[in-house]
Amino acid sequence: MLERITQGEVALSGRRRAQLLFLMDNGIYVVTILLFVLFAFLAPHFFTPRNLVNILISASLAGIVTAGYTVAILAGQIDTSTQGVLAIATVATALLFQEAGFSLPLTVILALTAGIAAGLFNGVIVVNGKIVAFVATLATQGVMLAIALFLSGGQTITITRAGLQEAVFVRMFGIPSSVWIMFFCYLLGWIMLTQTKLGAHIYATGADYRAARLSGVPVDRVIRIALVISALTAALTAILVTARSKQSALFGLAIAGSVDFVTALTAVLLGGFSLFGGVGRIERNLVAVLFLTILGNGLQLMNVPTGIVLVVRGFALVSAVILSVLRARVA
Amino acid sequence: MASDQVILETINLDKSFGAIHAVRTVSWKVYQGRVNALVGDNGAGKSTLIKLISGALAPNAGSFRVHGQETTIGGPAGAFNLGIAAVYQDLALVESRDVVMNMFLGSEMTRGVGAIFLDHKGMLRQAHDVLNDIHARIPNVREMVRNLSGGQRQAVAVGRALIRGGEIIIMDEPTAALGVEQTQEVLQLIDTLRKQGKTIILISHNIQQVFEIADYISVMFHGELLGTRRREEATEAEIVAMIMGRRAP
Amino acid sequence: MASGVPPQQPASQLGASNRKLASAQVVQFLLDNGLFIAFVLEVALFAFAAPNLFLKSRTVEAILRLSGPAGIVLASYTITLISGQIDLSTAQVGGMASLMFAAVFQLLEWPLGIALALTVVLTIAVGLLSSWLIQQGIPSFVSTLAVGVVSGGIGFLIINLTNQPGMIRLVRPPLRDIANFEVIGVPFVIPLMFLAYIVGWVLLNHTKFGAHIYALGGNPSAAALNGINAVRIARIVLVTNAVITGLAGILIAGRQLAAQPGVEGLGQSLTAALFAGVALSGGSGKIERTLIGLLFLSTLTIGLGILNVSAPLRQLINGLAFVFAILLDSIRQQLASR
Repeated sequence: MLERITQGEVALSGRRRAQLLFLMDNGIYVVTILLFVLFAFLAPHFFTPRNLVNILISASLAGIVTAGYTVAILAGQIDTSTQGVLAIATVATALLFQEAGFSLPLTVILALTAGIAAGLFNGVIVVNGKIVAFVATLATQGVMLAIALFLSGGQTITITRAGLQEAVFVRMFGIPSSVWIMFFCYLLGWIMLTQTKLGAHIYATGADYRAARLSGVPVDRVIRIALVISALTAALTAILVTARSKQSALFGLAIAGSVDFVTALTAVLLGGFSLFGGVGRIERNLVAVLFLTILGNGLQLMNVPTGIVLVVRGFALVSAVILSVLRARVA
Repeated sequence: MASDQVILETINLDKSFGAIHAVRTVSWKVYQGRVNALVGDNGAGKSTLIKLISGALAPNAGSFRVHGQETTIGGPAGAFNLGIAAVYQDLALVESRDVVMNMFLGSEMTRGVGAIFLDHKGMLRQAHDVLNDIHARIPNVREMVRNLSGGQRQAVAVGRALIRGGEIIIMDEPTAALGVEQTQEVLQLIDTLRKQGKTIILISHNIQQVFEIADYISVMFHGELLGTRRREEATEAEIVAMIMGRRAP
Repeated sequence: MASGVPPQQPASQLGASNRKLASAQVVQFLLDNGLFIAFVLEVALFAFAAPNLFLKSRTVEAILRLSGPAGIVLASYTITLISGQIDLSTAQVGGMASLMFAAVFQLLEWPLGIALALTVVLTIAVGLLSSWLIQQGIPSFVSTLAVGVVSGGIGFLIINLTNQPGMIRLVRPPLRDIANFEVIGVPFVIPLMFLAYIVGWVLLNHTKFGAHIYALGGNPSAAALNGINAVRIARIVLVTNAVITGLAGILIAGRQLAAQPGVEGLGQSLTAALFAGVALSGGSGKIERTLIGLLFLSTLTIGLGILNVSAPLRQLINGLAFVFAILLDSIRQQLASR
């Protein structure tokens, strides 16, 4: 059935095609601005400094996950274990800082290490088990969620010890640190993808695994690294989320506006990446993340029931997927 | 041979893919009960032409005449109804299914009320018969296709073409991926089919092989049909020259 | 064939290749029959660990009861998988259907038939959406994942709109009686499950449609070249799967006396099918084996419950079972392609 994409009957003139592609690539900017204006009028308390900062923080959290997620997608690996990594890292942060009384740097390092371990676990199953990433990470996610549940005893761990939120959420030049961290992640990601050999290898592996392998790209190592990066950013996000809410978050249920792999996948696809790897530009994801955050935030402020927010989220994913396929067909 | 009848004729067939003009107003005659070879360099348009004939592609312009009647092909199913069956280069076999189910893929025999249930016994018998007719050496027709040799696979694909009532059998580079022994097996298979009165369209790169088995040799160059020669009237040098694009007088 | 003395192979090398062959045969045997062995071992293990509690007709009934609705789904799920489609929306579709049904039947107190009909219409719509997305060239796991998110949202929406606290109680008489209806002392879902398997087996092995399903899963482009309508088959299979999943969701809700957004026990279909040797990539697998896969998982759940294993640990074991199942599938694929 994949033939339908490649053989799709899209007989467009060069100009129409260019126009359509321009629209698909840049439509997200227009739609985001329109949505912002719409909510500014419709949603109470939307256009207030407090809420705008809120949006910025939420977007930065989702943005960090998406940055790592993008790398995995570029390498052709759809990572569905994000929620599992988030769960493990949030529980680890809360347990180590609150229950074990570890120092902040040690807590952060260990929580990130947990993320790296989760990414390595994914890599072993995908590479050594020779299993499609989508399915492999679906399976490992179950294991990770169970481990998180096991460690926390199914309880939300509240952080009463001072120092975590204060240290993590400092403001520099009036902007919360998570936003800076996100920009830093994207900068790092951009440099890695465009300026390094690893980046070239990631693109090559995603675009044509066989060709990349035959031309000497260490594809297995590239896939492992991509999965570790994806898990690492998820762990980083988990630390920030935990610090912000002063408790271990529960990632079992898909709650509107939360950071999880559905948001990341939607953002990546809206940003113009192919599901099948190899193409895409990382900066557009930022806008897509902002779009999704504004959508969730605005609907919440309008007191729209959770159900509708979830349905909207689902349709956002559906349309993002359709958009990415359409793009492949036109281009 | 002077009394050879035309079974299939393409009339001014034309097909483009965007900027690529793959088949240019090709009018080609295919003779009944003969091996009609189609040769040409890579990208000469052979594959596109046979895809048009087998209904896998639809032409931009032009028409077909089968048994003297003007007609359209209209998809793979339409081609089967006209007695045209293609054996694709990749053979279009389902590796995880056995020989019988592959031979009846898409034309399964049924029995009982409303033709709901499969007739496993009937299919088994007919598969045996067809494979025997073409002298195929397949010990166990319940074997999965993934365990068969290249020659055996070719036989299964040809068997399927026969089961679908194929009178005109298109074979696309049937020996391209085969060793010497299996190549001989396939050539014998083609000869057997000819003796049974089937019409064969053979696409090949291998000029010697074409001279060994074909009755008519047609050459394509840059999407055009340069001409058709009887084997006994042609020389290898002449055909090679045509493949290189030198139009014969 | 060329005659002559074949070159002497060193004895040690010969032995090594023989051993390699033998071990490959052992692996193949284990892959083909390991599930049965594992199932017997599992039963023996639980029987040994808790003889007083496990070896009871009540336990057997509990295992079968747990397997009943999930087994009906698994039958259609297996067919879906063989056709080359991975459906990841099962748990959410089941939940959505049970909530829809509960809202109409319990809260609005409309007749059973109308509630069922509305639910079926909703699940058909969901199946059509999945197949439409797949038809656009989107891989089934992504399409059904997205549809699962939408279905989960619709489930939540029903709860929101009816102002219920996270679930809808389902206690109106006829349904409760139907869900617990017994035929000669056996809950009727159990014979119904076996019936589903018989229908599925006949469909796959003795009908044209079944042959097309195998062909489509095995090699989609070959199927299309031979005049098999891939789009139509995918649509029928996915819609059927959604409808059956929805009905099973209602049955489960009826037994639990409450409808919830996600249905426990429906998510294990993929694990059970992979255990039983259905290929993740489609095209091969035997439906009768998946039943053993399901019984294995149900026995695991009930057995661990009897042994008082904590919930997180049970979840971990289930998670590892899924990981193990996909590894099995991978090993099988690699052996087959050699």
